[in-house]
Formats: sequence, structure tokens, C-alpha cells
Amino acid sequence: MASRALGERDMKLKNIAALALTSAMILSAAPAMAATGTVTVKWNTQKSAAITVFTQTTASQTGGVAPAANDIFYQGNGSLTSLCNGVAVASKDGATNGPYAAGTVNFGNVTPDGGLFTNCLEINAAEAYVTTNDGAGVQVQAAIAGTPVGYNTAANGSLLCIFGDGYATGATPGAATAYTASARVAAISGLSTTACPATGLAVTAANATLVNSTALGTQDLNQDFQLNLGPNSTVGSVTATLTYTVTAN
Amino acid sequence: MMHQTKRWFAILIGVVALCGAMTTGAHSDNVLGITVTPGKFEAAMPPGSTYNVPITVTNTSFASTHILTSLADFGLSANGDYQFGKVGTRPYSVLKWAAIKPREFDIPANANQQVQLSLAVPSEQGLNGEYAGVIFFQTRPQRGNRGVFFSARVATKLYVTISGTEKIDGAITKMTSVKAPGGQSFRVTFKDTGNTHVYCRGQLTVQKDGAVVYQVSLADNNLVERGGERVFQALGKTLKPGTYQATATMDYGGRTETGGQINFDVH
Repeated sequence: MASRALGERDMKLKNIAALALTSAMILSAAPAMAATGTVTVKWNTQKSAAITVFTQTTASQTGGVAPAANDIFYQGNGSLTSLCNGVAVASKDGATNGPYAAGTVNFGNVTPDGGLFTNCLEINAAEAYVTTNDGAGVQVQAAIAGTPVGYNTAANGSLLCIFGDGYATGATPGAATAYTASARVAAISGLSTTACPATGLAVTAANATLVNSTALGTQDLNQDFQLNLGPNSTVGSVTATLTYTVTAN
Repeated sequence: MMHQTKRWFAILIGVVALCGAMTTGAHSDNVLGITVTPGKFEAAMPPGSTYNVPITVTNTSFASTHILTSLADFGLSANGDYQFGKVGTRPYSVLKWAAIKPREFDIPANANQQVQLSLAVPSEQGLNGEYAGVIFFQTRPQRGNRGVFFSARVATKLYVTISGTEKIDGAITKMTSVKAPGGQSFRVTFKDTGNTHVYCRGQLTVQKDGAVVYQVSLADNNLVERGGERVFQALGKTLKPGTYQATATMDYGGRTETGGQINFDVH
């Protein structure tokens, strides 16, 4: 008879006890396992808001390439001396006045007339690509800072106007707005530096509403910028900052 | 032979560098992009309680950006445009009870930063209904020599309701109708007489001698803030001369809808 090591019997007894306990647990759990089990899965999808800005766009969310064709249009309203981007005809952003720079809308050297208004229009100037998952929609506003003396005033003034491409500025869309390339081929005659020509949104220090959507979805807001220069508009190099504000409704 | 190899290698390096530069140029021209989560946050809190709200700001552009945080009160104009003011300038400002950190930070490209908003509702008596405010996250504008540059700011809008005190109520307070180019114009004023914000949906029915002439949509999920008034406009078809009745109904999420009615003449 082989001898048993010390404690071997105790170990066997412990194994039997563990086996009994496991069996009891399985038996007691069996009715619950046989029934239909439910698991509550919870999550909370948060509302978010986002904006991406592109300049000199060629398609949705595609910008930042030097324009292939003329994108700045001149309207002298009869002037023989005024210029946009250094010329009295259509031209390209960056073509006549220093290198093209993404993130900038540069009308170049502009020359006002002594008695007439001058209008410089850059098409596809900027795109604000705004998204939200909020069913109440989102409001997109624009305001400008760093403007020159006389900006948004009648005397020797200047004014920047935004024209929507494929949507009306100030609109309250109940659905998504898709990217639309500009169809404009000429500057719009604007004889004021305190108000924009029809459908244009005057950009001032106070927020002006680009769109105020009432539904979930992307607002892909391609924009043309027009600079209105009054007679004898104040001279100087201008670096202005246009701020888009996105607020959920 | 050795010189020729070196020359070809140098040309190859040059071409690769040029391609790289062109690619970088194309992509870096996504001027700026930020995402803020949550864009809107609503909570019910009893007086004397505190709440921490994590807000995530993501830089979705291809370059590092600097973000400035600011707090503001807000309201809506009669046509629904947001109007912002300093904290405390509106009677139901929630941000006078708020602290936020960090207030200013850099975010590398395609990265995010968490901001901690702490709200502490005082335990004073008399607090009721909804308190609101916005937190802006704004990119620092790019700098250059000349031209129009860009900045973007995205809000987290906050609504905090004092638990158990909310009251949703509203009424149409004014209606007018005038002949306008292209048709008959209607203006309907809705006033939020409760103590929370509401969203309105409504329609306007024009009748003549009891028969419906037409219906037009008046509002569709339009926001009205606590204590605010909003004017809704609708343009209906041109009407022949006569006496008409216009009835506006508005669903603002209350127990019942509100309505208004006017009689008007078209000459």
C-alpha cells in the first residue's frame, strides 16, 4: 500500500466540498438562467456644434488653393480711376498684389474714386461648414473687428458685404444647406457704405445672422465677399478679422 | 558615374520635397475648425447644489490653435437673432454661478482639450424656473499683413432649471395683416409667459365667410427664450377685396396650444 502524503485526505475532502458548493450554485442559478434575461444599456448622446472654415473654395470643404480663374470682380460705377486688386478688370486673389495666402481674403490694392462708389467682389471667398446633431438647429453669425476709420459710415467709408451662394443670408432653413459654388460673374453695384445691395449681409462689429436653422443638419455656407468703397475712402493697409459665431438653438 | 548618381538623387530629393510642400500647402489651408461638445447642456438642479460639466473642445484643423474662453448672457431679438451681453446683464443669468478652467489654452492639430465648468446654485429662496448662458470657445485669429482674416467661436449653451419650479406657458399677444408685394403679409407675436425656453410650431388659417381660403406655416421649431417675445411672419397668397378672418394657432410644448384671431379687410 502506497503511503499518502500528509494532508492528502484533507485536500480530497476540500475538493469534494468545493464541488458540492459549485453544484449548489449552479442549481440555484439554473432557474434564473432559464428565464429571459434583460440588460439595461444606457448612453447619453451629447449635442455638439462644429465649424470649419475654408477660403477660396472649389467644392464643399475644398479650399485653400490659389484660384484657377479670376475670382475678384471690379465694378467702378462709371469711374475712370478706381481699381480692385490693382486693376480695373477681373483678377485673381494674390495674382497682382503679393503671393496668394490661404486663410485670407485679399482684395489687394484698392483705389477709390473721388466721387463714385467702387465695388470689389471676391467669389467663393469663404466657406463656413457648420454641423450639429441638435434637432433645434444652429445659428451662424458673422462680425468683423479691426476695420479702418470710416468703416460702416457714409463719409469716406467702406463696408464688407457677404452674399450667400445657394441660400439667402438671414434665412431660417428647416433643412440642411448644401454647398453651392458662386454663379456671380460680376461685382454688384453697391452705392452705399452703410448698407449692402439686396440680399447682401452687412458685416459690422455687431453680430449679423448668416443663417438660423431650425433643424438638425449641416449648414454648408459658401460665401462671396464684396467690398464697397465710398468716394475718397480712407487710405491704409487693412487687416480685419471676421469672426463666425455658432450657437445651438 | 558617381557624380551623376548624386545629381539624380538630389533631383529626386528635390521633387519629393516639392510634392511634400504642395501637399502641405493644400491641407494646411483648412483655415480653422473647432468642435465643442456639448453644444447645448440642460440640467435640473435644486438650490444649494453643485454640478461639474466637462466640455470637450476639439481642434479639427491641420494646425495648432489657441483658444480663448469667454462667458456671456444671451437673449433673442424679436426676429430670433442671438444677442449677447456681459454676464449678469440678463435677469436669469446662470453664469454668475459658474467657474471655468482653463480659460485659455493651445490645442495641437486633431487633438482636444477638456474644460471643466463648475456650477454652484446658491441656496437662496425665490429661485425659480430656468437660468441660461453661453460659454464661447474662440480661435485666435491668424495674423498677416493685409486682408480679411478669420476666427471662429462655438458656444456651449447652458440651461439650468431649478428643480420642480418650471412652468411652460405662452400666448399669442398680437396679430396684424397687411397687403404686401407678392401677397398678404401676417405678423403674429408670441410671448413666453412661463419661466423656461420653448420651441414653437404654428400655422395660420385664413377664412372668408366661414370657408377656409388657405393655410400657411407660421413657425417651425422656433426658439423663444424665457420672458421673450418673438414675431413670426408669414406671406400668404394675394387676396381678393373683401373681409377675412385670420386664425393663428401655436404649439409651444405646453398642455394646450395658444391661439389668436383677427378680422381684416382687403381693399
